[in-house]
Amino acid sequence: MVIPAEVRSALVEHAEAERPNEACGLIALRDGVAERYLPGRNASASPYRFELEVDPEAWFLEDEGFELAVFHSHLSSPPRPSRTDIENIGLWEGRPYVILNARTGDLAAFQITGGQVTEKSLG
Amino acid sequence: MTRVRIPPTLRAEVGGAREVEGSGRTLRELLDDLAARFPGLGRQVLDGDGVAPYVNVYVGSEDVRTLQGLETPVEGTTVILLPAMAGGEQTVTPSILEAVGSTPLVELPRLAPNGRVRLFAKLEGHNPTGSTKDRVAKAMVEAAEASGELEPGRELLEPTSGNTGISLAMVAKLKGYPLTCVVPENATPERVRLLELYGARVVPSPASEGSNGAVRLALRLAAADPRLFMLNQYGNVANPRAHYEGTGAEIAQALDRVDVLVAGLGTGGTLMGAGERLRESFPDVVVAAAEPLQGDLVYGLRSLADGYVPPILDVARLDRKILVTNEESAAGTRALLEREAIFAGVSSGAVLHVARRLADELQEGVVVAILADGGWKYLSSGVYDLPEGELAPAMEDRLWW
Repeated sequence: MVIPAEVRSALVEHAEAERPNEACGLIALRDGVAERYLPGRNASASPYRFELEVDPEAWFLEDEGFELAVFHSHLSSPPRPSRTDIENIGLWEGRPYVILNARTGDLAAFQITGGQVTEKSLG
Repeated sequence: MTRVRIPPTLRAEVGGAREVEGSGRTLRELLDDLAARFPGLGRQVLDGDGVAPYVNVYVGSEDVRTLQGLETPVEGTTVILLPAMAGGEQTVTPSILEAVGSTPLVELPRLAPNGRVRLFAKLEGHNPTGSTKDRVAKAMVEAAEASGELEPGRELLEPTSGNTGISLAMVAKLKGYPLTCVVPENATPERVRLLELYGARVVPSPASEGSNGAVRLALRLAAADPRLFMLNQYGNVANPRAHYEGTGAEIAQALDRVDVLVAGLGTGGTLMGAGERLRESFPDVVVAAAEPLQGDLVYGLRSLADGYVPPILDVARLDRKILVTNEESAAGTRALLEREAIFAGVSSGAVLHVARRLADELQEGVVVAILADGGWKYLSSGVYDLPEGELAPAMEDRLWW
C-alpha cells in the first residue's frame, strides 16, 4: 500500500483537529495507492475509543473501482491494532486497516484475520 | 417490497448482488425475511434480538439507532447495510473501573488428571481490588444509578466479610458515595485494613453470629437511617448479570468446549450468571458448586444446610453441589501455588479441589474453575505456611472466604 504525502498530511491534520479524541475515517485507494481521505466522525468522541461515522455512500466507493482502508489514530500508543481494534474488526476482517500514532506521526497498515494481525508494507 | 443496498463486504452472502429486495413493514420483519432467504446474511446482520454489533443499518439516510431501531417502518424506503467500525487505543485505561473484568483464563496442565482432560482457571484475583466482587460491585452500583434508586447524597451500606466491601469501596470512592460496611469481627485483618484504606467506615458484628449476624445488623442500621442504601448482593439481580455478561461470556468466547464449570457457592451470583451463559454455548455443561461443610464459619462460600438460601440462587440450576472441608480447601490453595505458581485465596482451593475431583470423572473434556480472589488477603492466616497438622485447629473459628 502506498499513501502519498498529501494523503498522509490529511490524516495527520485530521488527527490533530480531533485531539484529544481519536480521529477516524476511510482512505480510498486505487491499485494500492491512496487517492483521497474521507474524514469520518468519531461517534464515541473519546481519547480511547472510536466509532466510525461516515457518509454511507463512502462505503460503496468500491463499486467505482476504489479499495477502502479503515483509518484511525492512537493518541499515545504505537500504531499497532489494540485488543479493542482486533475484537471489533467485524466485517472488516482481512481488509486494509491503517493506524496513525498522533504523537509521533508513525503510520502503519495491517490486516486482521481470525484475531491475527499481519502488518502490510506501506510506502 | 423494500430495496436493500448490500455493501461489498456482505455481497458474498447474497450471491454477489449489489442490492436485494425484501418484504416487511418494519426493519425487524424485513431483516427476518432476508435472513430466511439468505441465511449467511442473517447470521452476519442479526444477533439475538437485535442488529449485530458489526453492522450499521440506515433507513433513508438515517441510522436506525436514532430512529426506532428494529421497529423503524421501512416500506417505500431504501435500506442500507454498512460495516460498523469501532476500536481504539487500549494502553491507557480511563478509569480503574474500566479495568474490571477480562481476567486471564489460564490452563493448569500440572493439576489436570491426564492429557485428555484440560483444566483451566479463571483468575478473578486479577481484577483491580483482587477479587471477582469488582464485577458485582460495579454492576450493582451502576444498575442502581440507572434505575434512579441511587442518587447523589445517599450513602451505601453492605454487610460483607471483605471482598464485596473492598470492591464497593473502590466503586463508591470513584463515584462519590460514602460507604459503611458491616463486617464480622473474625474477618482477616488484611480485609478490614483494606476496607479502611479504600475509605469505607467499618462497623464490626459479632463473630459468633457469622454472616447472618452482619446482615441483621446492617438491616437494623438501614431501617434507622433513610439515607442508607443497601445493594444487597444476595438478592440483587445485577450480581448474576455481571457474571452472565462478564465472567461467563469471557469463558464462552475463549473456549470451544466446556464440560464442567466449577465456582464457589457464596451469593450464587457466579454460578447462576456464568453457568447460564455457558449453558447457552455448551448446553451439556455441568455447573458445579463448591460448598463449605455445614457449620463452618464461612462467608464467601456458604453451606446451604446452614439454612439461608440467597434469593438470587436457584439451587435447581446447579448440576452438582460438593462439600469441601477447610483442610481440603487449604490443600487446594497450596497445590495451586506449589504446582502452578498461582497465588490464590482459600475459596479458590476449594474450587480447585472440586474441579480436580470432577476432572477425574471425565475420560476427556474441559473443566473451568473460577478462582474468586488472590492470596494477598490471607497472608496472616497461616494457610500458606503452617504444617498440615496445625492447619485444622488454626482454621477453626475464622472467616476464610
